[in-house]
Amino acid sequence: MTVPTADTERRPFGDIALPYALVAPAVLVALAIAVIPLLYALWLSFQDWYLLRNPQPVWGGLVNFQALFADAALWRAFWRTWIWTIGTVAVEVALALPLALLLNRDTTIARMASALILLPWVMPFIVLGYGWRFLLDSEVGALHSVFQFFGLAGNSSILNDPNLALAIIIFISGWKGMPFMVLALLAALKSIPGELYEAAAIDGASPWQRFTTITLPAIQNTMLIIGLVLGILAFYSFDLPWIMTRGGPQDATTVLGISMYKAVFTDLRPAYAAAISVVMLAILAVASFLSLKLRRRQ
Amino acid sequence: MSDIKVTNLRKNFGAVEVLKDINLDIRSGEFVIFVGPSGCGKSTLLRCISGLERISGGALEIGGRVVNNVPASKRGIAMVFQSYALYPHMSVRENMAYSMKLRRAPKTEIEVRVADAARKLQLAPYLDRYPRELSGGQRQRVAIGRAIVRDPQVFLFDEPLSNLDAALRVATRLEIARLKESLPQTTMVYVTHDQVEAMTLADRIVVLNAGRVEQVGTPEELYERPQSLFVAGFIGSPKMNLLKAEDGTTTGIRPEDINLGSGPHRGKVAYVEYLGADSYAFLDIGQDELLTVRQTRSETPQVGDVVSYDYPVERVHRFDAQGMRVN
Repeated sequence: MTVPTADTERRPFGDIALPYALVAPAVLVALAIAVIPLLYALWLSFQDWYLLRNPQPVWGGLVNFQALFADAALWRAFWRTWIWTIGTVAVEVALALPLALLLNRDTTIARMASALILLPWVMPFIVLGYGWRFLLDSEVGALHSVFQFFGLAGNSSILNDPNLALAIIIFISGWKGMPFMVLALLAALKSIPGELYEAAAIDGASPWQRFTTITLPAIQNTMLIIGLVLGILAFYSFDLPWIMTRGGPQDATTVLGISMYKAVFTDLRPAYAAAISVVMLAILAVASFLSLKLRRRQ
Repeated sequence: MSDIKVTNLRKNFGAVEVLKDINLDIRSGEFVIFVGPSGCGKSTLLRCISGLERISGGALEIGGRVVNNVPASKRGIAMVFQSYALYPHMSVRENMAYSMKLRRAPKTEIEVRVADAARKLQLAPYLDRYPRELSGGQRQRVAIGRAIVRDPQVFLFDEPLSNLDAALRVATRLEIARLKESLPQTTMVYVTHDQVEAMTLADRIVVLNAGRVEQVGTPEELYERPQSLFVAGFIGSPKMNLLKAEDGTTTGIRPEDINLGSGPHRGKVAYVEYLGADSYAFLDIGQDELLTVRQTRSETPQVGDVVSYDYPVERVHRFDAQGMRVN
């Protein structure tokens, strides 16, 4: 056996520095847009900073976190955010599963439709938010007349109804997230060998039994993992409910993202908003950890 | 009774006619093997019998009953797939019990049948494992076990050994032969492109070519008296030597029927393949193709040698210009 002598030779500085130089831009950008704001928010959450009282932040310790746990409106927003998150994912699955099963065919129409189905996903929130507001408008909205016909909406838009506003925005949120789920499920469906269905047909399984014993077990992990990812996305939603209803009527659509925004720009309490974001981050960290564990198990 | 009768069967995929006017009688308890080159329709014919493909014309009877419109699960058949097609989310036990569970068989009966099949196939230690935890050969046995549990009249195999390595293929081939012996009443139809499987397992072989039946016969009949040029060239390894004459007729002679050393014909050894027990010598005799000669290892000539050869005239196969046998 020969002993390598390379250890004793010195490599030129350029050789050593090149890899660092190549990753430096990415590291700098990540520091600037992710790490530094995160640290700033952490620091800010421990300050006492009410802009009307003191223009500069002063150390406040846990004052924001104490206030946060005592804030009844925030607790309501917290539970509403869970309804929002779970509801969004439920709508996503409910819309995506039948669509994916329909599109899982090798026909021209299915291939074209698979591309078209991406539309809601790529459409900016501002565009579809205003689009849906227009559809639901009490004066000109096409959907409003339909809801009115079925007695769901009165003379004013459904978005002004505290009970129905959250439901309809949850549906829109799920509808927007659905294409991602459809594509993931399609990929999972395409990986199921056709011979399994043939074997099941010979074994005498009905179409429903084939679905429950072959299709569902094969896609359930994908459904769970993508559901978690989409749930995380939904948890910190701000744009859609803000565009549609500004968190109203009567806070009926105020989710944590909107509470946080209002804490800074309406109540002028940036440190309090930072504390909310830190708590949300902790919750999301747990959720992400769970999703990573699940993925590894898969 | 589990005989299979195929009458004027046709199968089209769109405008393409994959099977043309197939007629076949498979007796109850017979082991029949479909062979042919890729795309000849052998797998399609098997799938038509199974009910996974609907036939476009003709009639298909199993056990005296026309099953043209009977779904696969009601035909009394079981099928072993090339990819095994085991349900990945079920244990070996659940895989084997699935068909019985679907027809709501009593629990005790299911257990007895699964245990029986597992014992027959040495699968008992693996009943609680999942397919991904098994080797290729074990998966193949589970697939066979799943079929046995159904107690079918007709057993269909679609290239069941082609995903196994060479050693395992030989072992599993023997197991299938033993399985056939233990199920004398069960008709077995088997698709393969491997001649050795066909020659060793089959009671009768059906040679398919371009969607038609070329010849049906015992392995010996096909080898000794091929009825067409196609069968002559397809059955046997190395291939039969086929020498074309000016008038379009062809003379065929098997490599092992040629004797080197003396005789009226001469050729130059172009190269030699050494296989251990015997060797193949390839002679240049002035034709387009080289003449293959099978020799025992002690008689192997050297490359470049010019050798004389002869063959007994009763071993010669003659075909007319249409490729049909004449002698």
